[in-house]
Amino acid sequence: MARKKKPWLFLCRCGPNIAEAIDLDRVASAIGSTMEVASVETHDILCSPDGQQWLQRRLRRGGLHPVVVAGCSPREHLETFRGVCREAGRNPHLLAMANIREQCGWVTPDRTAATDKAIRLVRAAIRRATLLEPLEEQQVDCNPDVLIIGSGVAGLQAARLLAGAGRHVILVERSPSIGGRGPRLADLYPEMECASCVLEGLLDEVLHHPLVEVLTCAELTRLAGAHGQFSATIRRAPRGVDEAACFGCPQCIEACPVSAPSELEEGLATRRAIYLSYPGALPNVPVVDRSTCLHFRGDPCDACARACPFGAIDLDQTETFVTREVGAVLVATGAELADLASTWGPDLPGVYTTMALERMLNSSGPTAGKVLLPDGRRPASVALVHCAGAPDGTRMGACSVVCCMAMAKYAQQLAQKLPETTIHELLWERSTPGKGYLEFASASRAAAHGRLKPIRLEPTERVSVEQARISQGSGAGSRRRRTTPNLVLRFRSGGKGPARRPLRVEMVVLAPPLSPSASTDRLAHLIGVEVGQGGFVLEPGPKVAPYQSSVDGILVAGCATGPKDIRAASAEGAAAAGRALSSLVPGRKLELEPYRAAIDPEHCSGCKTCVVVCPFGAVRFDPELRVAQVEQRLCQGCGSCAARCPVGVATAPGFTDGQLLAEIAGLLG
Amino acid sequence: MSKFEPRIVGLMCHHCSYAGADRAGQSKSPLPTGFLPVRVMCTGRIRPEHIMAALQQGADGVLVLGCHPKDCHYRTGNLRARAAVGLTSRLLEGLGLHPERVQLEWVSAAEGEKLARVVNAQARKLRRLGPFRPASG
Repeated sequence: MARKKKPWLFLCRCGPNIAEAIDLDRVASAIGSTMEVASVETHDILCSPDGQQWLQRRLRRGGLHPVVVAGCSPREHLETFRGVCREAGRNPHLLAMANIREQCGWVTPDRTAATDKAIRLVRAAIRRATLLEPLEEQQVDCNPDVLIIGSGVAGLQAARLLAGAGRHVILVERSPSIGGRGPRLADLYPEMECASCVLEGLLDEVLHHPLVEVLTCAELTRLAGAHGQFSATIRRAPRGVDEAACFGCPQCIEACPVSAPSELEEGLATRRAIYLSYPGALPNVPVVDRSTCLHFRGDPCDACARACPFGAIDLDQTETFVTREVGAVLVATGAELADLASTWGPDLPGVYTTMALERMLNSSGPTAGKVLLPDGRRPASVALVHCAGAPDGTRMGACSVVCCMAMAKYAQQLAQKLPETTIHELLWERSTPGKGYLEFASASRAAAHGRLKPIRLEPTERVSVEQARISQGSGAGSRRRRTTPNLVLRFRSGGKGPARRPLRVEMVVLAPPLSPSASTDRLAHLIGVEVGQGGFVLEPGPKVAPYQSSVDGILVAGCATGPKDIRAASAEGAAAAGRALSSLVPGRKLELEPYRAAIDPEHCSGCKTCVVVCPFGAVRFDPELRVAQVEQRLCQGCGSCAARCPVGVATAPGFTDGQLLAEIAGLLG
Repeated sequence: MSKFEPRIVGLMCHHCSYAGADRAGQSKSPLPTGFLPVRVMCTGRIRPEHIMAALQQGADGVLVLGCHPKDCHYRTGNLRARAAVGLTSRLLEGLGLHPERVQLEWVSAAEGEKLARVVNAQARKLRRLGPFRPASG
């Protein structure tokens, strides 16, 4: 290796910016006289096109001289001067900057003091530069394919766009069918389009796209590697039906003797043990629910298998594992309605969640589109309760974004379907941000023709639901009981004032908050992404990189990061696809972090301290060699390992102990 | 004799506090002339040895300035820095020296004004404590 020479020092006047604040001639002569540099030259504006050319000509001179530029902040122009070094055929990391503008001239009004300080800063940069080593600007191959976890609107949108650009997509869905929550809805606000009509094309396109591999009943169980080269292991639970052999006729379903509450219908209807998630679910292949199927409860029943004309039923199926190589992972795991606290009477007859009402309003739902009480009557009065779910009956803290618009939709639909019914809307806040949203909510109220009665609750006011006690002495016979509103909403004032009078209604519809889907926590832990408020996946830069999780190469979209409606989830899916397309380009390589850490295997004691402190899981312990190793693709160059290594064999290139101590000595010497 | 002007080594992370110090410069906030900046990618890189070396070589105090909790570009480096500074302070105290010669503060990229406030406060404190001489503290 060529012997390293003394640094070349270039001083920049930055027009008048530095020249007026600092006596650069004195800096040049003070440094020049120390014999620590090979040359000192000054330029008017080093970052200008002329300045860069001037610098490049000088850097083309031979010899392994480190370069020191004293001028503005390295945050301003370190990259500029690195580029000049590259152009001149030099390693861009044999370059140090002394920030004599922002952190010297501009904060030191006295010119003599500023010049004294500048000499210290320049000397420190020279000492640092003398110890710099060339760093390798390494590039690695990347796989342009993408694994998408979750097939709601966000995941589907991303899959469609990625496949459209020629990328292979592996779409992993935990449930037996794709589509997420969207296809379970009836009409979508504010346009009131039919949900299945709007979404079917998207579902169909993704399901049948030759570049999309759809894995249902599937979950990620392992993710190894890093941005550009992940290896994913996916577990497929047994469906009980051979997808390739099934033609989607309902004979197996009709033959099944079991009746179990339907998850889709929120318990308002039943399903068989072999069933389709919802009418029109894709893929159009039933699933055997082992928790209710007699065959898996010690009974020899095989009615479905006997009924199937295609021999597609396979009750002996076992779980399988598949491995796929991808360059990026998109987490689009969505959200679900949170469980209601007992305050809200989740089990009382006549109390429904918004999703249950949604199903009742659906013409293919359990009541064929009719809004009915458990006894089959139409309710004479309904209370819509916003922000429900807090255990103490106050307003649920975090906004779930979609509920106010959903409630406006229900008010409109109930007013249409139940022309005699009074609708009470209980709300602490109303939030309808979005194009056409406020107009929609206003139109909904107008459509109810005075039968919609909003009740604005005080911020600390509490609400609870209970079964009404039929008052004594009212001759509460069984007929009368049936016709009396039998639910009562009770209020407690948060302040000193008297409580609001109880409200009797026949039906209560609660808007529970959206919480992260049940798999989110396990998945986040598995792949190492951080979760934030409410357990949703954290997007550390929500303004400029809403698609980016806390881990490089792991993207996030839709309700996985927080509640949002279909329009927003769709946009986020598209944004994530765009990010995957621009960061993983076939034939283009990925740049590795130049400051990535190094651990000397000869002297590593195997204590694993660095494994524990690395915030990115980039240091792994090799059990055979009994040493720690840096995963080059994962290291982000923070130097945490170098700061903790008790034997000093983990180093942070660019910021080694030697370089830091030399710089500190240069400042103070 | 001229007034004692303390020398303060400021160890700052590239992403937040060093940018905050640049911001102080852009708004021309005067800083004590003895404030001497060192840029690291992350304050998690800092070992107690670096802080002690600064004191041994003539600094009167050290400021470690990192991102606010949860804002660390490297997730937890700032919290590791807090541990390193705490350890160094206790070490100084054990040696009979004033523990607050070494201090940690959170300064974001936008907080040029806070940076100036923090550095000026440390300079005032060190003027009161006097020059760092390991014998007297």
